[in-house]
Amino acid sequence: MMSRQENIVWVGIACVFIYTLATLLESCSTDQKDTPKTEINNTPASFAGSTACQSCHATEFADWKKSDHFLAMQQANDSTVKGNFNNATFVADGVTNRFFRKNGKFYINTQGEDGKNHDYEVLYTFGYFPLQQYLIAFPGGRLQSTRVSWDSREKKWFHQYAGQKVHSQDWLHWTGNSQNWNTMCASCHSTNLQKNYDFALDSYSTTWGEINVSCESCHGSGSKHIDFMQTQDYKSGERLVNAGLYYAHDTIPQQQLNTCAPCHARKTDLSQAMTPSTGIMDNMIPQIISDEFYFADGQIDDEDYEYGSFAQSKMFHSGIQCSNCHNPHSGN
Amino acid sequence: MQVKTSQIFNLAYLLIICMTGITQVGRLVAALEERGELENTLFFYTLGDTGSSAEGGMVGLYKENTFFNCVPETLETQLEKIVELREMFNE
Repeated sequence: MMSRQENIVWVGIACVFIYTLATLLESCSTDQKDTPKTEINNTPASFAGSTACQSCHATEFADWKKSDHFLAMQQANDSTVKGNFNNATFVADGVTNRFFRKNGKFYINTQGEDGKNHDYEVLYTFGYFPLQQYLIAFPGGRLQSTRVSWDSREKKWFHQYAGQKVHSQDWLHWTGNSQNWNTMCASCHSTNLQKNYDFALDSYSTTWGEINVSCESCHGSGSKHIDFMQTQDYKSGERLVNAGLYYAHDTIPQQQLNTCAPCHARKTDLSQAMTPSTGIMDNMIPQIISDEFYFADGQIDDEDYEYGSFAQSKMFHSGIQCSNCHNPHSGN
Repeated sequence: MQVKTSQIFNLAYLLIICMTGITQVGRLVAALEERGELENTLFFYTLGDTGSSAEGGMVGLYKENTFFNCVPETLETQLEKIVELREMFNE
């Protein structure tokens, strides 16, 4: 039998031994090549903008310029507007809509909040294919998206709630909350979007870094990457994991899905800023696979945006990821 | 516990009681007691504004915009809004 004092001494020695071993193992497990010698900076990476990426990543940049991500949102002009604004008229579900141009600008005459028709200037295009919608400015920093939309396949105007007469005061009316860009649409159509909703004033001062879905939407803010590429560490062959970006190379399916899913899912956000996490549900609540939105076998029925169906597919569980079939830059 | 027919009858009416004010629940209890039905009644009390809605949460919600924009409503701001609402109705 050991005395109490002897026990304490042995426990102490064991603790020191385990600590030393753990420290040694930790230092061995860290790939020395992944640790840059130069301290880049300790400030969080900031958004650099897509033009900063172009000179080194010309192919990806050119692909992206052709993508739906590039056209997710644009200023309305001759090259971005797909719809017929040559004084076209479209009557649907009790509302007469007229699409016309005046002084080089695009206008829609349609039913407003008061139930009467007014002229509304189109500020932005929203989406491109298979449909395009149009954003109109309202008081309180709001943008609203019209229910009448352009069918890019059939090249015709259509009403999203065909067969339903939506009252002008209804939540579903295009001037109501369900068609409010700031709340419902904005965060997935622009880069570094801040909704900035003011509860006291019930108004928005929404901002974006870039109007469309650009490089840093998926790869994260790029300033650290740019700083690193200019250091001696990079030039002398030292490496930084993914060179300071998200998911640049060799992602596993779950990592890549974490990049795409925040927008390619029907979901509810849990916080204003994304929490760094490997668990998707730390940041969002995805729509449950119910027969209201999905076919019985789990395929997309309603506006589900891939994630819910893909995550339960045989493909995903066999290790297939989005980029096995799609070029993530061009979207093809 | 044996459930009587009259209890089931009341249960059907009180399956979901959607009220935010405890005063209103008190009135309901008093009314049932007055009619001698209190002992025949099962209460199911659900928290939330107009029922336990996904947006409403445990303490109710002044405006859904706060939920959708991830801006928490504090008790102070809710009280301010309640005063505003009362003034609107008084006008």
